[in-house]
Amino acid sequence: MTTSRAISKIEELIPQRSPIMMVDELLEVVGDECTCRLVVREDNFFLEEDGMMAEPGVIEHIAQSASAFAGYRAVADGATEPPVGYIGEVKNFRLNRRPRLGDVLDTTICMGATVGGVTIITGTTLAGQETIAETQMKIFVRED
Amino acid sequence: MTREEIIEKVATTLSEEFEVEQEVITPDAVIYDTLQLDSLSLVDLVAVVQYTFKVKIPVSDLPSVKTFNDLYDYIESHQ
Amino acid sequence: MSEERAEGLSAKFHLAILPECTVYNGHFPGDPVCPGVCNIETIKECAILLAGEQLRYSAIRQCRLTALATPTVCPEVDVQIVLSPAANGYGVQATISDEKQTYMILKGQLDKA
Repeated sequence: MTTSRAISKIEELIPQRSPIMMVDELLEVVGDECTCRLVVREDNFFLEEDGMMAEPGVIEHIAQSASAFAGYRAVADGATEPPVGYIGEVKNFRLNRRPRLGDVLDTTICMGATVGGVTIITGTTLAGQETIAETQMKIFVRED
Repeated sequence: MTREEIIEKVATTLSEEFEVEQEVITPDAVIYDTLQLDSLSLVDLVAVVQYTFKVKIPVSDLPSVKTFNDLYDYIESHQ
Repeated sequence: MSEERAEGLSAKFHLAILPECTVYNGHFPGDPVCPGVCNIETIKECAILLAGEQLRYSAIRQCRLTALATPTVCPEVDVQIVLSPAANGYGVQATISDEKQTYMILKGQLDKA
């Protein structure tokens, strides 16, 4: 299923709100993959004094990108509220450099197997052509 | 893949993924206990089998895959 | 925040979770849950205190969030941390727990900043 750019408002896809919204837009969905975007701004919750994002912020951005994808699928299935998802596990996270103020982060999420409400995902974050970080993650989606 | 190749591949792949000795992966051993699975790592088993053998184990089939012998049977019959 | 230092580079920190932290306004509205990544940051800050120098994560081999941490479920937690010298910095193994349960188990690499 291919969809156009900038899919609905991000508030409809993820349960997180200010000050810890770490995805601006769900840009594209193609099958089991999606792309999300975040521009690193002055008010970013994870921005440090040196104008760089703390490493956990990158992990949260990738997790919320996966959450946006899960939200997109839930809404497509008729959900009226985005599902609440938690990080269950971070595995083989590698960070090449911390994002800096003004960076446009594009993250590709690949959704893998789901068992017992736990979904495996892989995430790769780029700033332009430069790979910022890669990781595997398990997202646990709470059944409300 | 022959059954012998499946048995060999299961031992090498799962021992590495779940950090256990290959010797504990025996036909009658219970997978859940041997690999010390929990709700978080159960999905790893499904993902590794899918990636390694191109065999997808639906959640509904998981209860029938208790021992490694069950797993060999399942992979062999779903290749 | 209190700290008991042991031989080598390991320690146990005891700390309180601040229910008034602004992060709970958005994580989640009306349902405060400690973001797992904030616990990952907590481990780094404890490592910095222990090592006495600035450190940053370059890799996380595995971090399992084994129970949901919230300001009401666990107002105070212990961080057990072991740093082992490694190229560019330290290998880190840490857990966050209280007397009831373990909330996080982490194995990673912290590089000198």
